Amino acid sequence: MPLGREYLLKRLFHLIFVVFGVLIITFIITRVLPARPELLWAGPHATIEQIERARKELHLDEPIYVQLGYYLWGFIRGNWGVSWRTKTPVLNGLLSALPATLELIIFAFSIATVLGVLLGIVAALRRNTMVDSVIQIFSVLGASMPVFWLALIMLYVFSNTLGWLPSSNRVDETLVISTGFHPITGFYLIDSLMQGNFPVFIDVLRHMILPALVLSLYPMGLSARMTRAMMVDVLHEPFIRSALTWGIPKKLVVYKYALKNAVAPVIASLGLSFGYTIIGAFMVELIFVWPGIGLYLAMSLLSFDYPAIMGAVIIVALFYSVINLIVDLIHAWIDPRLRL
Amino acid sequence: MRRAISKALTALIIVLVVALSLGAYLYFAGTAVKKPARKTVVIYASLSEMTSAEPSTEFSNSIMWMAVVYEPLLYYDPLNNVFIPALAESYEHDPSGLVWTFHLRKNAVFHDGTPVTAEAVKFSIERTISLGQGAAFIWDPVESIETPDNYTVVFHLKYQAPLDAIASSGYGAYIFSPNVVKYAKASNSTDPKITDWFNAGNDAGSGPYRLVKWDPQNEVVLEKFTDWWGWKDPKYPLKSDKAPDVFIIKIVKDSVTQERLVRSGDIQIAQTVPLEDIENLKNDPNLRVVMKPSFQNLLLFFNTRKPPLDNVLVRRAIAHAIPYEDIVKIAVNGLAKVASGPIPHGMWGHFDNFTYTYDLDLAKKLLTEAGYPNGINRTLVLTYTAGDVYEKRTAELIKSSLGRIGINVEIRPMSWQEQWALAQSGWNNSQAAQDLFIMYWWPTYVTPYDFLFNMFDSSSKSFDLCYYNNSEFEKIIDSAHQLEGIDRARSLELYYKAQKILYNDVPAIALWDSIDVKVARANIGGLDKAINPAYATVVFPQALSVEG
Repeated sequence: MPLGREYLLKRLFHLIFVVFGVLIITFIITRVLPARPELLWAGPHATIEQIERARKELHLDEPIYVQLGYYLWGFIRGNWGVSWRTKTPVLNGLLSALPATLELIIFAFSIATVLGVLLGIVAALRRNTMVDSVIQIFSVLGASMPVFWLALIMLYVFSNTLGWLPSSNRVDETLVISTGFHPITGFYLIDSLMQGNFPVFIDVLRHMILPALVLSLYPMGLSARMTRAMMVDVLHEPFIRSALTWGIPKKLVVYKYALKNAVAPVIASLGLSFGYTIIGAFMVELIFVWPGIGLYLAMSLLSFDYPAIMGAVIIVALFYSVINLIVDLIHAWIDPRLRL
Repeated sequence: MRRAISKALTALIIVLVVALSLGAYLYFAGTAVKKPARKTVVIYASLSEMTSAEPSTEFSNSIMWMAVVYEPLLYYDPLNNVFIPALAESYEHDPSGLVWTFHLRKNAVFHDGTPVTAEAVKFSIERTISLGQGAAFIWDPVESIETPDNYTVVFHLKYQAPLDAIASSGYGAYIFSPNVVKYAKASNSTDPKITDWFNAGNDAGSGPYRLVKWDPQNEVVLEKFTDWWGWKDPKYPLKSDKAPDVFIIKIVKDSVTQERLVRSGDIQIAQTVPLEDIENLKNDPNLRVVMKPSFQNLLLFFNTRKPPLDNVLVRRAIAHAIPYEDIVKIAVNGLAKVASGPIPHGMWGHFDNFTYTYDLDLAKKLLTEAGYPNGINRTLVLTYTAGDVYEKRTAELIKSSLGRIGINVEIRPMSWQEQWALAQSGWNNSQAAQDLFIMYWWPTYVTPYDFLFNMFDSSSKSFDLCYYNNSEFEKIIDSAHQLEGIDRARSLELYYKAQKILYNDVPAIALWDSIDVKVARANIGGLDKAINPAYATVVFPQALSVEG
């Protein structure tokens, strides 16, 4: 049965509602804070008159609902405002930061899903053996270690001490300039392949390993534990036992019949852990000086750059809602009962 | 059967992908990627993001790259007290000091290839003046600008002023091409479309580097402009034959990370590293540590309108109860100089005899004289900018030392915005404002007047945060400023007199003058020449030499 159009429409409506709600709440919260962002606009050593003028230019002298009105009017027409600290359009900043974050998260999530599910299966098949215990410990550690701490430790070991991997940034600037690499999609792995620029591809990969690994440990641990628990349950179901007694190869039974039944909750939990991963990505981006949305938002928050904060929060909310929608769709596709 | 087909299909796809990648690799390996022309790159980490790309109004961190992409008429070398020609080869003024004539060099071109002419200079400065934002106030003395020929610019002033110093300002004095009107499809020079055009990442300068990438949150990439007049002039001091081909300003928002990156070689120059690590970094053979005076100082302001600090004896007592040497030693690891008056070391107008002695007995005597033999029974509030560890340590040392003469201090860290707003409110309600206030100052262009006017003249409500109001002092600094360009000796005498008044009245105390400490990779030479305290935070890449 195909997914109902009604279901999709309902979900899309929810999505718009959520993003709009986030927009308004964020707007109000940032504006009631006791900050004076007009100082940012006017710059240091600005005179009182210049600051007064900045207040007027930014409409900060008007009531909050009027300010919201200005913002929404611009937002609807695709004008997300200008960053008060860099005076460049917020949308430009976000669009250049978004691929950096997406590439990192997708990479991290791919590692997490594949390795997590595999580890979970292995643990379930070797239940109560050494292997199982090691995997269990690993997944508990992975899910419980704070990202910022882990990031610093990894940096210390693999970058500072061993010198195997670079410690910051997405790519070596010198290499970019000497090979003439230029971003097209903003996803450097794809861009470098499209340009046949293998030195940059390898370099981008090397830069991505540490932050992606750090970021992947939480969802990896989570999915390993979920998979193991679900698989243990499913492997004891009568239909699996009958399948095995009928002589269907064990591999087929495990990876097709058992896994398909076990994986749905895993995907749901991965979707939920996505929110956590975005927060983790903010930390990771700060530590690895990764020019993504997290770094952008952190810097905007620190300087009360209202339009930039709004833009980044909206992007994250949108992103989060879309991912949730996708996860639910996959879920529904795997488990037909949910489509009802 | 279906299974077999799908298996075959998968295999086919894998083979195709591998073959394609391999083919692409072999193809490109032979062309684009093989043996690229090696360009030298220097990455300089900035602690703050870039603030705009608009040369007329920029008054903040973007001068880091603007000073490289754009040129003023002159540069000023404050440590040798000489002006270095930039777009102007020479200049003179008439005896009255009201007419200044600048002669432009004839071989300067903008990055679009058009020549730098007198008309462009007039256009740029007039636009900056009409926009009236940022540092536009520096041109206040200018009455009109004339261009008798293509390479001569004549300024007529309303009153005497040091126009050479003004023209060498790091803010608001940049010359850009009048073609911006055309490029931005603007109707006139003050059309906001021009600002948008600049802020979209375009440059219209004539400097040694061009702006090629504008990503103000992350990095700004500058590339050598080969037609720059300076590269061709063998005698020009502010350039190097081994200057980097590409200069990148990378935003790295904290000093600990900057230190890590310069150690690992990910960046070549760090703007700021934690001062306590400097000794350690000096011993690293891969790095070099360069120190230059900086014209930034840290000052402690008194609320001169609120008891007990409205009493000059109490202020004097405090001045003698601050352990200046210890503050420098402990708060900034010795990497600063004890200040002597509000004008920093190394700058003209600085005098060495304005430091208060640290003498607790004298301080106690002064307090007794002021009518507080047992100390002060109210706790004084000291505000500083939260997050600044050097200010924090300084505040703590002041607190502990004042405690020893019976003055209790409560330290209150605030965001700069709050701290400044509270201090400002003191002009209307001095009783509700803080008692003690710490902030840094640095000049817009190098003149003692910038320090003395902004922080101590009662018409400067924005930064006279000691609420000091002394008409005699104000008259003296005004005449000193007017004489700067025509009678430097007399001007210095007046500045001395003004600082003597401050020394006696103690509306504020300068605590220390910062030292600019930069850490670079060992193969980066010429940093000493590339850093100039008149242009704080700028590293002039044209003067750097990339070795090896």
